[in-house]
Amino acid sequence: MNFLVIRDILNKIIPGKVHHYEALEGEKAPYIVWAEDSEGNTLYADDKRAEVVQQGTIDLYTKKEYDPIKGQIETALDEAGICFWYNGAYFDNDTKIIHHEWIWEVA
Amino acid sequence: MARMTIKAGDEYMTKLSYAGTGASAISKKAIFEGARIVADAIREAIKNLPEDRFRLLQKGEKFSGVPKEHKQALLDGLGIMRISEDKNGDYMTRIGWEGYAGPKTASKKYPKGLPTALIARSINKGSIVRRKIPFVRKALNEVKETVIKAMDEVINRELEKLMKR
Repeated sequence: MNFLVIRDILNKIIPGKVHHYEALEGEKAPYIVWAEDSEGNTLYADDKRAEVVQQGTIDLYTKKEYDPIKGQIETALDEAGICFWYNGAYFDNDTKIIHHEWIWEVA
Repeated sequence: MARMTIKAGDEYMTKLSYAGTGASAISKKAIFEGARIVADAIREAIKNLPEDRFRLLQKGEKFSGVPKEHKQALLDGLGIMRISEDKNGDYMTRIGWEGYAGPKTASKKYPKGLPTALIARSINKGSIVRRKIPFVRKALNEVKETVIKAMDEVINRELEKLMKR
C-alpha cells in the first residue's frame, strides 16, 4: 500500500485543510498536518528489505472540544485497513488549540 | 511521552515461574536493562538534535532546532523511574524528564525556568513556535529489537544462575 493513501483519506474529511509536513502560515483550526517521518518494523528476508514499513503521524489541530473530525479520521483509517494508534491529545493554553496526534504505519 | 510495551510471552512466564520468589528480582533486572538501552538511545537522539539559537521570532517563523542550553537540560533531566509492580502484577518503569532548564529560561509563567518535560514535549509534538522532531519515537524504533534481545539475555542468564544453586 502506498502511504499517499493517508493524504487521500484525510482530504475527504476536511478538503483543502490538509497539509504535508507543515501547515500554511496563518491556517485557521481545524486543520490537519500529516507526515511520513520514520521506518517501522520492516521485514527483512534474503538480505533485503522484503516488506518496508513506513511510519508517520497525523496531527489534527482544532479549537472544538469533542470535535467529530477526530472520530471521522479514526473511522476512515479503520475502513482503509491502516494500522494506527492514538498517541494523545495536548492542549495549548496560549492558542486554545487542542492537538490530537495519531501514529500510522503502512507496509 | 512515547510508550513501548514489551509483553512477556508464555515461555517467559513459565521460565520465570521456576524462579519462584526470584521472579520479581529477575523481571526488574530485565526491565532495567531494557530501560537503560532506551534511555541511552534517547540520550544519543538528544545529542543529534539540530541546534538553533534562542531568539525573538519573526511573524510566521518557527524554531527548527533546539538551543544548546535546552539540549543540555534535556540530557541532565532524563531519567528512569523506579521499577514498580502495578495492580495486575505487571512490572513497569517510565523514562522521562524532571527538573527545569535553569534561571536563564525563567519567565513569569515559569519562575524556575522551563520544565524539561515541557521542552521535550514541544520538540516531540511541535508547537506554535517549533517544528516537531519526534526524537523519542525514532529512538524507540531504532532500539526495540536490541531491547528485546537484551532483556531475553538477562532473563536467561539470571535463570541459569538460579538453576545452578
